[in-house]
Amino acid sequence: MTLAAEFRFKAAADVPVQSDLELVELCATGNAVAVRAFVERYQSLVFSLCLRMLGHREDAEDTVQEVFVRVFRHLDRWDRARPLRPWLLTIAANRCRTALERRSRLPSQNELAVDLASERRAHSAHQQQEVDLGEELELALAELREEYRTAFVLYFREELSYQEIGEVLGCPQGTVKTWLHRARAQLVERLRERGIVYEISEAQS
Amino acid sequence: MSMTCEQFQEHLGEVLDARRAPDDAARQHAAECPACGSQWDDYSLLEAAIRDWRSRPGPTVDLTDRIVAALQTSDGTARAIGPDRNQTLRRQAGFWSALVTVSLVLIAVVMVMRDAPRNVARAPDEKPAPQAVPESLLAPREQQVADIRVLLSDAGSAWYGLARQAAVQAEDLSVFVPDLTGGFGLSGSEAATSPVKKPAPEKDEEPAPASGRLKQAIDFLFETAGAQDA
Repeated sequence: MTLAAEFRFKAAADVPVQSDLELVELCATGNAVAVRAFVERYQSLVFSLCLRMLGHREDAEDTVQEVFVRVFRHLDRWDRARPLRPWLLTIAANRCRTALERRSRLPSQNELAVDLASERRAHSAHQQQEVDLGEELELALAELREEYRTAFVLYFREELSYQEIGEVLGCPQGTVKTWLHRARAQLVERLRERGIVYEISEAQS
Repeated sequence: MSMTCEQFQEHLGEVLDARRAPDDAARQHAAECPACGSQWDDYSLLEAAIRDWRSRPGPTVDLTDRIVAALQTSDGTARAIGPDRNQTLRRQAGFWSALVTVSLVLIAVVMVMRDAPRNVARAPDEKPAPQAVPESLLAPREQQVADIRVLLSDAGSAWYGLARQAAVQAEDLSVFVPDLTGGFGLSGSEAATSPVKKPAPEKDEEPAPASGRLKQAIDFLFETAGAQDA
């Protein structure tokens, strides 16, 4: 067993499943094991959002690192009375917007499609059906405007409320609803273009 | 009971907002109304796609080692997750600056009051008793103004010294400031190998005051002294 693996095992043993608040309080005391557990708990959530906003794996990884450094520095600013995930995602969304401004261009649809396709290949060994609705939706999502895509992911995947999404993206709830409505309409349109609607209707009838 | 088209539209909106399943009445209306039926097909298709999409595992990543290394490289984990020490230092510097400013103003006011002529109430027919003239009033007015200038200059130097000391301490803690270190933009391997660069102190340069309050007070006193002089 390597040292890193041993440490990981030890970390898992030392920090049992805890609430967000308990884990954050432990992190605030400088507990390195808790910091590690915190990162392990939330890195996938943050990375998922960053990858979808930036459309580029390496950029997303860099941004995730920035997000966690910022999170630990400002951990005392998290309102303990509110859920942690929206706060984390707000920081992640802000860092992504900064990265997009730094890059001075929106993510190319091709880049996004390529990176998400590689993610799919890594996890779709069991999904070799003729029509993979989830995959079709992922492809259609990649063609949406960045704010539509982000709002859709936060609502339907992360299950944030309209208000929480508004806080994450810095816009009113009404705007979030509008973005979600347009996202749904455009997704259906793209699925129709791929000939999915007819097959599903047939399957349901 | 079947719905009207208007009720169907309203119901579908509520279903989406509440993330719940539609009623059977809506399903029945969709089967009877071609226009709403088309919308129902769209809704059903997208809901099925979303269910499938949600069941897929998200993109995986393991950046734990890299992030922990970045935290340790930039700040040291315990420091990084503790209170912002730069902020604490700034608060302390602000407190001491305010204290020095108030002290300087008080000293200047006392000096001005001590040298000002005093009005003493007395009876109308009472002749003022001869008093010993303070030695400071015997000095020429120009000399008094010059003395005030020297005093304020000395106090200003002391304040600048305090500001310099605070700047040095802040520099020692500069690893917490991303703009100074630039460490957060590093990749994991770079962060692990690159030492944190601290800006070199400029020894010959006087540190700029952190606040304009003292300067404002000094300028005001100089202007007052200048006006009295004129």
